Amino acid sequence: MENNPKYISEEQQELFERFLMHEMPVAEQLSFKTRLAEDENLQKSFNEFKVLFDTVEEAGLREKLESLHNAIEQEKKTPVIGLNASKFRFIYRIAASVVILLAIGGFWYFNRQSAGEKLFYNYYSPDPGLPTVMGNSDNYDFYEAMVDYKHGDYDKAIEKWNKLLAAKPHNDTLNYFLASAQIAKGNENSALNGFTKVIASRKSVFQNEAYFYLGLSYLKKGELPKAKEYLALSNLDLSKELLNQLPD
Amino acid sequence: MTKTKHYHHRTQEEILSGLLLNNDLVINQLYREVFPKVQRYIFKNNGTSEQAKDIFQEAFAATWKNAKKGKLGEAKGLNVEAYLYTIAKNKWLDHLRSSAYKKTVRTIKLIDQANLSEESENETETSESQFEMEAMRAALKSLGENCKSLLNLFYFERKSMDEIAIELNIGAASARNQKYRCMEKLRGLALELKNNGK
Repeated sequence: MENNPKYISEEQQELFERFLMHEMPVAEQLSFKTRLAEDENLQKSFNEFKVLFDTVEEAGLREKLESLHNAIEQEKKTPVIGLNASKFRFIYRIAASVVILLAIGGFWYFNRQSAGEKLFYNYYSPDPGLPTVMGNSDNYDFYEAMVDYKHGDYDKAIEKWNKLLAAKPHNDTLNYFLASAQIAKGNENSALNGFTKVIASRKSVFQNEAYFYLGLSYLKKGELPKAKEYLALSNLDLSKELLNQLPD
Repeated sequence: MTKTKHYHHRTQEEILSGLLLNNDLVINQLYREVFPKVQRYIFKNNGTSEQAKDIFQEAFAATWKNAKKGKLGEAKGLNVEAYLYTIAKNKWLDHLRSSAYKKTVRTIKLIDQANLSEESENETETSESQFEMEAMRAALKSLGENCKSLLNLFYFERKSMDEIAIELNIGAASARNQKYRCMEKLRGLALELKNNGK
């Protein structure tokens, strides 16, 4: 075996490595130390190797400290990792917020409508109509339509009453029940026309009901000020009760 | 690389053994905990951040070397952070004692306050061994990146043969062989530089 301290075999190097890196069991450590004490050449080889080993190890440490220091400085200046994370998520947070706002807005929008609509459906019921005592030939067509109306055949009733309206356009009874049929069908706008005509005369027997239905129609359409205005004009108890339900 | 537990609280023994094994997390924690204190001290005593960095890293290396020599906590009991801090402080005081600051009153006051007990580093390196160390460092610098990083993985990071083989995408036998060859190369370079110096 070559005892030249300048030459180290691979096996010998690995022996030295294991000793230096504490990978030797204690017994082997002790026997190795004994050998070193007894063999001068081995001692020289080992010492030479140790210097190289220590150099590599210390260089590794210093490089590590340097890069660690730089990392810490970077973290102090610009929290890159944090910023990236929040930048990355920021867009998604914004998108999520927009979606949520739209959803809430849409929900609110629909709910806003249905708040008025809710009250409408709570307080609306179709006018019961006039008693249909057939026999009076003067108003046969009118009462025939009334029968349709009471049966819920609103289209038929409207058709028939419209024909009569052509001859008597300002007749408040015709206008009132036409409007009643319209509102029963859900045609608020047409109903509004009719009810407005009813109140135009200011002397109609249907005035309070017309005001009430006008108020309800505007409430359903979401026009709160007008709804309140008309409801206030009606002396019906129901109208007053509904008016109290509405916000100021 | 050996793995220590991933919680932040470590006992002094754990810090020491982590340091001995060049454990990444322990080094990280120790650096982050003690450096700010050292920096504050050096700022208070006329230093710059660059100086704080240099002094601290020197102190860290010295602490690490002494740990390997078994010198930590011989008298008062083991406290790695305190040891490191004291070494750094004393190094700064050594700097202040140098020619530029020798005549100021403030320096004398600081020296009085210094705790120059057994924690102070034993700088008894002879000029010859210092010369050898310089030659070694120079040799390592000229070794080439492949060998440098390979040896670093084995000797500093202490990764296993298999881990390194996977990391470098080579066979285990190849990793082993390359390590031997790199050390041979380093040995040759060191010898050359030593001989050229002499």
